[in-house]
Amino acid sequence: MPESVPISKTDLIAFFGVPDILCHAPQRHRDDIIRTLVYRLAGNHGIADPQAITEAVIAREQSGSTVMPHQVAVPHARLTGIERPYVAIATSREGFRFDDRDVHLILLVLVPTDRPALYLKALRTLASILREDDATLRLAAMKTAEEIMRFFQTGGLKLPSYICAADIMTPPGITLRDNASLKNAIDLLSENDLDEIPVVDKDGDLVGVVSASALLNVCLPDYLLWMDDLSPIQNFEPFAEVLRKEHNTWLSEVMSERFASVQIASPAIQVAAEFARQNVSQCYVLNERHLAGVITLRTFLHKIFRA
Amino acid sequence: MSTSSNPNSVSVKGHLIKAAALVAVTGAFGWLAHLSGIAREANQVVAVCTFIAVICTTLFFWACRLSAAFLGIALLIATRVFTLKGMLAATELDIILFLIGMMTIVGVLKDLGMFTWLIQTVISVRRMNGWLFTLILCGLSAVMASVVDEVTSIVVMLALVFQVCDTLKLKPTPFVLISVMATNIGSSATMLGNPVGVFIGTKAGFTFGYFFQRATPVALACLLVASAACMLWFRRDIRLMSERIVERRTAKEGLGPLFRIPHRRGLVILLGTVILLACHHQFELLLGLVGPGVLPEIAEQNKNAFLIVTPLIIAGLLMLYRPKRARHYIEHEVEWWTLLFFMMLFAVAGGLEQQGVTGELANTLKDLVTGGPKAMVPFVLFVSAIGSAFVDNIVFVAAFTPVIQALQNNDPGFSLLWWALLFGACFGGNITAIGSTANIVALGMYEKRYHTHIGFLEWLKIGAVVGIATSLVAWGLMVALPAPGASDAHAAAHAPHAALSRPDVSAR
Repeated sequence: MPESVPISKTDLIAFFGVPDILCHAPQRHRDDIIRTLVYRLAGNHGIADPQAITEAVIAREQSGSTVMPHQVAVPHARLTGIERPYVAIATSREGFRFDDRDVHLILLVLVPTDRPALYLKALRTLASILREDDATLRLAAMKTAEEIMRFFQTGGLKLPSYICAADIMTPPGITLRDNASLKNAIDLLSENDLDEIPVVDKDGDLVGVVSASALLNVCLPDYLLWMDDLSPIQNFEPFAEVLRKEHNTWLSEVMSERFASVQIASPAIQVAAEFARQNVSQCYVLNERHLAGVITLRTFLHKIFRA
Repeated sequence: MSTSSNPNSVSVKGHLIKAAALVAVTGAFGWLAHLSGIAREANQVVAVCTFIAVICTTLFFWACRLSAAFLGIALLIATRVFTLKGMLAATELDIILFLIGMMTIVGVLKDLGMFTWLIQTVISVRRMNGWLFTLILCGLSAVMASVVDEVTSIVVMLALVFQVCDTLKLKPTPFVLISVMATNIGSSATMLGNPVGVFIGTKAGFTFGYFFQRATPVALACLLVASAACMLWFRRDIRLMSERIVERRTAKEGLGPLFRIPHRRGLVILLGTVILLACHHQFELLLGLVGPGVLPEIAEQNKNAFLIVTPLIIAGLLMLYRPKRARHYIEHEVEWWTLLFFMMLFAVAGGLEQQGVTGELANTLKDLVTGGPKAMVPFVLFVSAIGSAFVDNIVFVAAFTPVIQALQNNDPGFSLLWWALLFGACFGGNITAIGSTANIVALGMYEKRYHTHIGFLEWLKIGAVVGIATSLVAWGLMVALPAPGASDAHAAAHAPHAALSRPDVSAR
């Protein structure tokens, strides 16, 4: 029976100890080091069926790499058979091969299925402690598990109290300037297979969005959509007008100023509320008014349910 | 957060001030009614206060008007102003059924492309210019309002205005105002145009034909006056529109995408509906529902029966014709919120009548305004016009109707006041931005599309000119037009009897 950890624990360090740290691991291959760490955790804490857990972690890794900046990887899995999170750490001076990349620090995280936030919180904590470029290499150079443990104890591995928008957002990617033309928007939407593009001003502040559905609305005036059956219109005549003037139509004429947005520090649950309330597929993360990132509904659900 | 915050949020202080005003006005009216002898007993004061509170709620807390009406009903039953059965009898279910039928028909017409075709037809007019567009806008808004209803008319006409103004890169405000003014005037021309019209028509016992005969000439004259005033007022915008149209024509560009829309089915349904409604009295005679040989009490109960059931018959047939869309028509095209408010409001106004408050008010008015019906016309006309400028016009009509019925009971010449009430309520709606349902719908559409609003004063300036001018014209015509014919007078004379013959359902 694994020891119980109070749910109020807010420090990542509560979930691992010196025996869970493998210093200067000889393994090079991803699957080998994952297997070694899983079996070590199973031996230390009496976790059942390490083979199945290894397969689950590797399967998760194959579905999407967990390599972070600063040569760190965080392989993980959600498991039904455990009641508390477990963390195991491995370092390597030569590096472990993860998808053609060398990583020098691995944190294996096993969490109960119903506590998805812990993994995301751990990522944020690690990102903050390993912010300095050489932090990972310094850790990899440490000779004993006790030394590594001290590093984390000194650096502080306090878990944030909640997951915020910044933890799940991705960089904004493609944006349009507010002085662009309708043609630019149509080109970008069709070339990049996008549903929506954020529109920013010269300062990078989000001023609106242009979406594929808004373009449809430009082509199909409201009064056409009153009709249940549009079959009498067979040749896309409504689109011809828009095509004729796409060079001379400013984005501001088709851009919508209504979009779902949250502030960068807003709790992730607020993002969920925006998706649910407004029935949108994309939520923008703002730092004041500056566009800081984007969260798509797909990314959000993946991170909460499957990441 | 751009979408999570509510830009329309009003401060708690603002709400408290409004609530205090509501209580003060309600109390003051109750006290005045008691002092003046209109409401001597406690139940009468409760009926007056409840009615005034509902009016004030529509003025101060528009979004809460249905809540206020629900609570008002509960209060009237709890205080034994009327019984549950009495309340149900006062909800005017006949008018509600008529409106449900018409709303369903309009939903089908929309679905079949009838209104899309209308817009396409205007956009494709050759040799279009600003003046012609404004004339078409005025005429079509008024006709649409008179044969369909004011809300549908404004939705369709603003879709046209937005299309044309966006294409020409013009500020749409002048054309929105012109269309709204014409819609409100046109809505008075027939019983179909405005819930006020069908309410007055059924309460007064007018046939569709008689209503048309009396109201349409006045509405037409007022439309001409209003159109001229608007064209003068907005002449610069209209000129600019002409210039832009010429520019586009030179570049061989039209006012919007053009395509063929099949419209025959829609046109047949619309014309068929209007013709059947116009002939409802003949059908009633043919079926022996009214007329010679029918017991007077049966004839009384069947009065205008076919007027009410015609939209239901047509709506029923149309739903059979399009069974897959039938549920959509009923669930999404019928304005249940508005209809429920009407029912509750009629019931609250019925409380006044059942407590004898309106009878007392009629006597007081008769004593105050000497000189007979013609002298009272401007009083009713301007009071209902000014009242309707700030409060939903149906509220005023619901309040005035039993008063006019009581007056007419003593002297049939007072039937002239029905028209004063109709035109006052419809034309007064033009004065302010909140004067009628059409105005509010137009403002909502404008704000949604352009993320800005039409200023209250901007509306008031032209609204007051049109409202006052058309009310004066209507007054003149009402006095000048010949009195109704014998058969019409017969219809009108029965109206008060209908009201008085209602069983006494008061709890007292």
